[in-house]
Amino acid sequence: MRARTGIAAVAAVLSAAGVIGAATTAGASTARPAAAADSRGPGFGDHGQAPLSPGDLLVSESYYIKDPGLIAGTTLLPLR
Amino acid sequence: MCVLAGFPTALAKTANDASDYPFGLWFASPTTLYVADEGSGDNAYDAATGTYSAAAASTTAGLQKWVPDTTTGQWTLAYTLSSGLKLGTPYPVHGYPAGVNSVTGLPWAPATDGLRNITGQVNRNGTVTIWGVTSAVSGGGDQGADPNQLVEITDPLAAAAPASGEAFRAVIAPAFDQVVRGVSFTPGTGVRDHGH
Repeated sequence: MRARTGIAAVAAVLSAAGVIGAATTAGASTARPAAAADSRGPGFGDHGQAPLSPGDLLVSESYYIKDPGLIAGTTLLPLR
Repeated sequence: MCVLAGFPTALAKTANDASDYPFGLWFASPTTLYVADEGSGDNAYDAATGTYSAAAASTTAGLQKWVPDTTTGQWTLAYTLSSGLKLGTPYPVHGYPAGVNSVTGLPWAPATDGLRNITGQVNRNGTVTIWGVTSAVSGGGDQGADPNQLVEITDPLAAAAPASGEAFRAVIAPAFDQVVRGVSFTPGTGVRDHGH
């Protein structure tokens, strides 16, 4: 059986919503956010700050980064 | 909650490479259901062909189209779309390790094994377009964290067989340190926006 979710070798720190102008073949909305985007273009890396409209296609993603400031935590179980 | 009549009911513990591995569902109409099948996750690799052999041989992974049979009263599998997914064929990812992972003895390079989350829309011309997140197999040791893709395909809603040349294409290509997880339309998306 396959593992259902990945365990990051480093850390999964962000799930961002991107808006895709996916109108090329299907006629989905071409509305794009006005907020600043990262190097991949409009809609990416907006972290939910972009205005969204009905018809926008949302994509959630995980990014794995190597940040020395991130340290593994521990889980403390409640005492009975 | 119930299992739709006609859908597989085999227990997961008896599953093998030929079994169904359903993940996301999308009803295009009351009588047309698309089911994403993520594949078995078997990362057996054939060095002779350069493919993950179990994934490449799968006839169930990809996007399954189910329709009801009014005679039997059960849902039946019309066909499975996988053209363009290149199941089992390793794809390059810029920045990703190359060669064989010494820990697993298998290539680092991932390959598509099927689809997970999906969504879609009905188009004015009688077709539907479905977007899907791909699953992966690899020798990386954590297949769920492999770089994957967002793909799309357009299928005639009423078709009983795939249209000629019908194939998936990548909307988001695999990228180092990135995994596509989910896809959906914004709330409020509906008839007015897409003219069902």
